[in-house]
Amino acid sequence: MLGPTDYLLWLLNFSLEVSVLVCAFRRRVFLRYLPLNLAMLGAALANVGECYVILHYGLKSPVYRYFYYYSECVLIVLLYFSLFDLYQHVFAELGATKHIRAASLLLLLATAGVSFLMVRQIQHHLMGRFVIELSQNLYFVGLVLSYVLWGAMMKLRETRVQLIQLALSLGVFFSAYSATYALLNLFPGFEITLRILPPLLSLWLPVTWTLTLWKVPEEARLETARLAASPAR
Amino acid sequence: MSRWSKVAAFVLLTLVTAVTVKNAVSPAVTAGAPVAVNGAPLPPPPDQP
Repeated sequence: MLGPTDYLLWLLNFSLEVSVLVCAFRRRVFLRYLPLNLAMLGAALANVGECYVILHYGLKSPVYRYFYYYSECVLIVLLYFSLFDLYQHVFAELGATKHIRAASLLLLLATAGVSFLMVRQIQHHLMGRFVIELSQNLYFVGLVLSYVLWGAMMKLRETRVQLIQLALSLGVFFSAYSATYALLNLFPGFEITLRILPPLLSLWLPVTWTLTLWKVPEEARLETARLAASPAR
Repeated sequence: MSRWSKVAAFVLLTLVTAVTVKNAVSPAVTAGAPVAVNGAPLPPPPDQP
């Protein structure tokens, strides 16, 4: 049974996801960060769909369980492409767009292949288990990619504030979820890790992305010295 | 080393690292794990017969 806090967090999440889209339109960066905005649009639509399914079939129904995990899988794939879109922005000047696109597709296919190998012995609900396994593996691939992106941004002395903040918040999001997985493993069945942390953490991306798109103009630049320490003379 | 070799090495290294980290962090996590990009409530695990 859902309580008022669940509904409040859910509504807040939906409103913030819509606010990211509104800010992107107002700042005229909707197409510039298209995968990121599509991820937010997808998340908002998934929220509406999940609300409909809960009202018609109930929280405990298999319909809701399938809808939840399948839509989450689509959303994590969209977030994955958002991350690679940030890679493309960072490496644009090096002319590596083609290679980054190829790497993103190869890595997605490889992750799907590994996920399938992990669940192939399961006889029942193979597709459902595959979708969950793929989502979890993509979280951890996203985590590794975020740290690599942070390293690349430091190395290349990236100065675009908007880009830096979007990448940092995505990395924090992936890290926080990995910590949730670790907590779940340490304390299985712990109420906070199952019911309270996931919806709270899911607020992080829409909040930070809304603030970034709302407060930081596209042309804002960071002083290099603040991003990376200058080499000692 | 060509650019395509670097791409292949990057893909392989990322995947191996991610799966290793995942197995280290949560070896036993299966269905019912908090996969959650949006704030919808997590579905309860199915009733065991």
